[in-house]
Amino acid sequence: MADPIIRCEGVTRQFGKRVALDDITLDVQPGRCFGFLGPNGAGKTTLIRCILGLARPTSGQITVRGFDIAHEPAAALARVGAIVEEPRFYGYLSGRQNLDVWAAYVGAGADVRVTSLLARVGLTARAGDKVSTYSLGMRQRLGVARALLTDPELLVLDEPTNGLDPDGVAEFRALLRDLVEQDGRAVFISSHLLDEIEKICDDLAIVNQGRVITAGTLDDLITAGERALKIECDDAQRAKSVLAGVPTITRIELDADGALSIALAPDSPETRAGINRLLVEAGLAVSRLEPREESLEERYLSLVRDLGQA
Amino acid sequence: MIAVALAELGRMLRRRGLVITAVAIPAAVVVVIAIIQMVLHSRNPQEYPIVGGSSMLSAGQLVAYFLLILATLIGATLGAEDTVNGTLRYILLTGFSRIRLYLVRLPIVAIIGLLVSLPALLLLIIAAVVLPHEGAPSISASDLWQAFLLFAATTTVYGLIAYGIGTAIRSTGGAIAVALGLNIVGLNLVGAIALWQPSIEDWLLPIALARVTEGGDTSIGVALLALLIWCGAFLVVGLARALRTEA
Repeated sequence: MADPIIRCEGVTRQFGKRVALDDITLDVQPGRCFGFLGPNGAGKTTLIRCILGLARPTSGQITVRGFDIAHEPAAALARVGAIVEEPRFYGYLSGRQNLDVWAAYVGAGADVRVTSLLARVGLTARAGDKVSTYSLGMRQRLGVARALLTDPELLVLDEPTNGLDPDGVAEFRALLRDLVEQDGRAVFISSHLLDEIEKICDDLAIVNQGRVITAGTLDDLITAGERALKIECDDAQRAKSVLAGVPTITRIELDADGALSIALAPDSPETRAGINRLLVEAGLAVSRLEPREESLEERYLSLVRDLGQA
Repeated sequence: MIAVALAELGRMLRRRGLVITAVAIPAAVVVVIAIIQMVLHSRNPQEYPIVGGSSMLSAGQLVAYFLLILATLIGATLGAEDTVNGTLRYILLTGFSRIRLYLVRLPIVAIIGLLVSLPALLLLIIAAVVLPHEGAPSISASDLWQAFLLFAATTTVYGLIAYGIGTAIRSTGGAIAVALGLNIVGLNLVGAIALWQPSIEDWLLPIALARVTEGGDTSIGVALLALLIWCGAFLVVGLARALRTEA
């Protein structure tokens, strides 16, 4: 595995007595889209600000592109682009003039990329208009163009689809996947929108109350969750009482359609065939028994629920 | 640094409302003064035989008062804008350091102040040449230099002080209020202090500025040092805040 493009080790950030980040440890791999998922107030923006050197952790270390952000910020950020909280510009300048100003700050020939970046984010036609006349979606796209001025290996985007309409979200999602798949850039994206993360990201971490609850690839995270089965039989109530005696079944619910939904703990030794045998041995006629894939939303909710119970 | 300085200069000059106001007000003041001079002369040429020449140039002091206000607007805006607007973090993310960002804008304050005062200076000189001033000494290069120095020094000194305050306060409106309060209330205070203790008047900002711009036989060195101390004090406060502000 390549060296991580972001490495957070034991990052804690306190505001007085309030702990915004609590011992965060995670790696983001190059060329992957990493989702940082959590409810509002979970500490997502605080971590992003720490990663970008805009705020300092109370303890712990963050390296970006192999450089310690606290001690070598210029080297760490040399090929990093970002949108933090929301894309802010000089409203009295046009989109192109704004990018020209930032290109001057970036240096290294960034000015020659302005025209192509405006085209890439679909703003060529409005490049001469003042940014104060842009919609939020246009400002988000201009924000991505600005972030790309450094030809970044890593893009850090804080809730980038907030406030976008469905078309804007779809466009933005396509743009981000393109940056990962076509350009091979790493994208670190924070969001409280499960559906968005599920559609965009390869890897993710779920954060709540400043702590990472779980992290891994999207596929691993979903399959690591409880295994769910949907069962149809001639007497659902009796089936429910039969299965209630199986200790590794964590949830049994009677659905509105009369079917039974059960969830097995991830480490449960029970198989579909075993469940079927139990029901048949109890004299029940099973007409349907199929696995039900858990969505990220269900996985997320079960993790947060477990945390609440702990 | 030069590319950034030029980009910043271009950006500020594109703030049309601020720039047009800063150009138009002092220019309008010159026009009004010239009209008053002409009316006085045409109604009573015996009492007001000389309204052009050095008489007109001396009205530069009044124009400079307005330049003080406008330089304060420019300096405070440049100092506070990025923090207020949320654009500071995006500048820092380019890897451009806080200290370089703070320093690169110092000459911008002076250049913009000078640029916006040039039309008023030009009008003042034209009026001084055109309005009647027969019998009075002709306008010398020294007179023109002093007029230029008055405008340039006023906009630079008060612009830099407002820049330091703007960076420290991180609010454009607040910075303008504080800088104007300091500069305008300060003028009255200076008069009182100078009356009370004449020995320290050399170190008071308006008096030091007047000595630098008017020349004369007093020590320019002390006056320049006083200006450096005044500007430096506010700029150091601004720099200290610029290095600590979370973007």
